[in-house]
Amino acid sequence: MTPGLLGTLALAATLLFSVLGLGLSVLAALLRDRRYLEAARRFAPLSLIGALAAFGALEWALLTNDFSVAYVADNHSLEDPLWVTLVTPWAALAGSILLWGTLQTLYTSLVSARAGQSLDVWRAPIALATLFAIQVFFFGVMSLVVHPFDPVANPPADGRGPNPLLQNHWMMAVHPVLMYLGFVGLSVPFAYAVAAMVARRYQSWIFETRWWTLVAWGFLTAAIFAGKWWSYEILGWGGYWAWDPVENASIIPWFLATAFLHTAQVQERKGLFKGWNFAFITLAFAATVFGTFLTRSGVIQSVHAFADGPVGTVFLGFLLLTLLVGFGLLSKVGSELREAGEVRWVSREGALLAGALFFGTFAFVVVLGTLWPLVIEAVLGAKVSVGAPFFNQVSVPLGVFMLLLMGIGPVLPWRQATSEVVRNLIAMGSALGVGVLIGLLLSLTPGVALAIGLFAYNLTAVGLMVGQGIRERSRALGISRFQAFLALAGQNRRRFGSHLVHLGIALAALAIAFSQTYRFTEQKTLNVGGTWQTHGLEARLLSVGVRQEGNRVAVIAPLEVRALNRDGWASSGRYETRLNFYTQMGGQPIATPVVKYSPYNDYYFVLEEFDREKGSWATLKIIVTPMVLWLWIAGAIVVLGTLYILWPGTVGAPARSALPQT
Amino acid sequence: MSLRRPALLGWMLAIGLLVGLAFAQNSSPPPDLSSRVYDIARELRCPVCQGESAAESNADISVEMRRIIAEQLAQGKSEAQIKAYFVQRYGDWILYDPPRHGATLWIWLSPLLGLGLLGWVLWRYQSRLRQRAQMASAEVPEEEIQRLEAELEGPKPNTDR
Repeated sequence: MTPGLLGTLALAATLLFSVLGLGLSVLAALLRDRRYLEAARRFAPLSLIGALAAFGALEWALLTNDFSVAYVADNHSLEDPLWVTLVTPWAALAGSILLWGTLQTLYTSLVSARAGQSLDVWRAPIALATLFAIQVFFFGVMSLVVHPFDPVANPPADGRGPNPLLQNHWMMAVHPVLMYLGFVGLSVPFAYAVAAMVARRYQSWIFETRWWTLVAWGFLTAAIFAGKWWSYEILGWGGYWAWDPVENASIIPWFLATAFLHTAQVQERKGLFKGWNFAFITLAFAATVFGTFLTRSGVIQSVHAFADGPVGTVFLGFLLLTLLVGFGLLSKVGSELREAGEVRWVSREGALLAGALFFGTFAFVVVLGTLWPLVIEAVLGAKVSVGAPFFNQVSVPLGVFMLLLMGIGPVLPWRQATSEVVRNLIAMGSALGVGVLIGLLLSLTPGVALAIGLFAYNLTAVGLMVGQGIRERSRALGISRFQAFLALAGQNRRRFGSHLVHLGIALAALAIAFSQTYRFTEQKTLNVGGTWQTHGLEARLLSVGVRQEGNRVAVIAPLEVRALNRDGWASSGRYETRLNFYTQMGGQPIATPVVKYSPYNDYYFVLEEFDREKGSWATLKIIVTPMVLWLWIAGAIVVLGTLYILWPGTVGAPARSALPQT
Repeated sequence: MSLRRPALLGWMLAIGLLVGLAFAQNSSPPPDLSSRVYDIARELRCPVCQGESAAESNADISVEMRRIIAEQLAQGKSEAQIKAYFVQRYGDWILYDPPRHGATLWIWLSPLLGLGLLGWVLWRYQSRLRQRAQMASAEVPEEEIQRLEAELEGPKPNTDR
């Protein structure tokens, strides 16, 4: 048995299991016979085992340097460190699809475990059929289009190794997996939506689907923040988000899933927006396929782009099929949907719907902005670019409205506004005004002043709600305020967690406003021993040296930095700026910036160029960005808030949501 | 001094061995650049890159573009004049901030278009629902009754156990 053979067999077996699972689920749905459902369920763990075997075979091939497998020959080399070898399965196209398919079988198995219990027997076969169909697609693609175990006729003695950019940072082991967990996770809500529409049960699906969506959303959020930090750490330009088409591809499903999470809450509580929720979740899942299409088709230039070839067309077909199924079903059952009432705009449901409207709009803008250059080229033959400056500008008004709604929504009651609500709104409005005023008095730009105001406003909103809950509880139960706080946090985790998430988002918005507005970049060439004074700091170049490190050579230029005044606060220290040369890259070096994090400014030192004859000078770049650290803290708060909601114990508590909330 | 500084020959050799001749020489250091150069370069496309701006990319042409920007700034040209210079050479395509006219005007209007579109769909959705609610719920379609009856039979019992 060779890894290649095991992998090929395992892929074929998984495809077979998926086809059988699909067939049996369809039979169960058509014949309304539970026996077929039970049989279909067995194929979920079987396909998981098959997929894991295939994935294990790829790792096996990599670990044993089996260069007779094309994937290994193309993406692995003898010099790779162990951790790089272990993460190489998702360093290129075929392996990444295998990871995707494997995670899909994992989610299918989790859903299958619930079939017949919380997922009732009417919906279960259809949900499973949908998930099995997705599995058939992925394992079909692997069997027919991009086979991860294609053999090489004449195995080379050593392979090319993965793209050096991917082995330059340990985030390679984290970010892609989180991203796939999020992307693939959205297939479950889609399957539940399809099941609800086919089984014509339009209300009962929403609670559990919201939970699944939150799981996927949490992974997606973590992945997006991790990716931002990764690019900040290694790309060497001091930014964290470039509106690259593939970054856009990750944010589009995030927007749509966020919209769904909010309107689903209204459906759960009030039975409204049924049609919307079907549409939003279909779009969110379709957006993940769209993202895959963008990354793997080569239609769009991007630093993330993987490959071009037939796989793009295949994904485009799958995308169309997804949309057709989702919207086809929706148009079929649309006339049956009954809403439990009407929307009042000045109420929580109104604010949630308006919020969803903005999230949807943002997704629309990002899709259009990403595709517009293609459209123009196809229609007019002209070449245009739509890039970061555009997206940054349109994000401002959209972001401001979203942040305003984020504060108002939870404060407004479900029905009509009361006098207490009006008092709260006045307090929040004052916080907004004071924040903006402070910002302007500190002579910050109007945009940043507004960001401070919006942060104060959201902080006030959360503070008011938590404070109110504490007061009411401590009065009613006669306990201390602190006990009341603990009780509140422990008992209504969904609400409390969402406060945390909102706080994190408000903080992220503040950090983004500061760091995007006040980034300072400067480049200068220094002789060894020379000094450079800029932005409140003084940097001295100590030497330019070279060091052999495993499969790379590093040119290292250490800097001695000391702070001169407030602008350079916390910048003092010794920084080893470096350029890494990998054999595979020829002469093209990879800059590895050194970042000094601080709560005020981040200092970012990059070695750009050096004297290649004598090592007597080096060209350095210094980037100073305020408040970036808070963006990572904000990301952690959002993820923790999500975890807080999802932590076992709150799941399966739909009854509680009928009680009045804090 | 934590770093070893090998003799000049060893220095060249260590890198030369790995990366070959491409590495060997560079005549003069790149120019010093101010933050304003980067602010302008960030809005210009690197013509040969995969979606990177002239501020981020290290391709030769981007290095050259940054040098040109620095030179023109030193000559006292404004940001608009410098951008116009690049547009003249490469066309509007070089601008990551697409012009607010012609074919790229639509993209600037996209937030309003999106909001309008979604709002319109929402409005139609709501008004349909209202109509349907007025049609009274007493009337249950025949197929729905049939479906309910079929479902009342229930799923067949699990004979496995």
